[in-house]
Amino acid sequence: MGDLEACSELSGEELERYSRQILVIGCEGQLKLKKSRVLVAGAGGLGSAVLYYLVAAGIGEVVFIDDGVVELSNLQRQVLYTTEDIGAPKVLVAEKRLRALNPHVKLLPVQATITESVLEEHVKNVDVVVDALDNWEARFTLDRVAWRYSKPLVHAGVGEYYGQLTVIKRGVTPCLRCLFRGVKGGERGRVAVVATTPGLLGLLEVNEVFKIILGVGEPLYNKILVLNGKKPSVEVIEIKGLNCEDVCES
Amino acid sequence: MVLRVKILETNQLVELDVEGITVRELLSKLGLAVSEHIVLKNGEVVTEDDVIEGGSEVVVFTVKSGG
Repeated sequence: MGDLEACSELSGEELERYSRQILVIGCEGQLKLKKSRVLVAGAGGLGSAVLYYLVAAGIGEVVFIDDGVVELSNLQRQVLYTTEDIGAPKVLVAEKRLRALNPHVKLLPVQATITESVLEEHVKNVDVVVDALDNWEARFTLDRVAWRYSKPLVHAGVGEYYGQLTVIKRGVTPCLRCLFRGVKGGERGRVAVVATTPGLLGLLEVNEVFKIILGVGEPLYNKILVLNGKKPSVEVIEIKGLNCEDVCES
Repeated sequence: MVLRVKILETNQLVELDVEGITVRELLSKLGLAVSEHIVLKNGEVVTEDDVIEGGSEVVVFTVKSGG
């Protein structure tokens, strides 16, 4: 499809809304975003940033899963929510905010705990999966299902001033369970973190989603980006030497 | 043989005089939890029972769990 033809598939309102971005990715790129479906697991600190920017940028369909309600201690970093939302289910508040931000995006809020059966229902229908979770048990469940359906999984984790980011893809990288084997911990909802860290890592996750969908640049395959927000410094570590077949294909 | 260890979180460089040491022993010596750290030996990811020989270049970084 040529760019002119792609432009004709976007409404006048969409062409204006995304005009600054279309200057970079063209109507073809914008149409790729519009035709894509992304699942976001978790609607907390990472999830707030991820959801806001995916929806603002014009991803066609966004599925988001979280079982939590808005708490006062969330508001320091979970920028989708306000004081008046305390006690309300996160996914329902998020849906309202995101719909107001961009009515062109199809939103599918799922108020549920992350389990294999919940993920089974939704992961197979999307193009990219984003990990915005807060504990390893749920992350490894997400990794298992994304791996099963060969969906790219964008992972991030945060704490204090620090965070890490990588992209998992079957046939290209080790699975998350192998890469981070031996890693444990993460008590749900009890993370020690400054307000900016999930925002920074969440936006980097969205940037990886764009690269995957648009087919531009180099997604973080076989690399881990490590952010130290105190210095600040960003190190990109290459992953090699792991034999993962026994862990990932079991 | 000197083992050079770079700890990313604190930007520390530690030198240890060892012939060989397991990842678990190394992290214990450094006071770091196995459950929260990834270790690279000469650029390759190693797991807790792997042995790191003296003379190796090692990088340790913390993996965060929060979201």
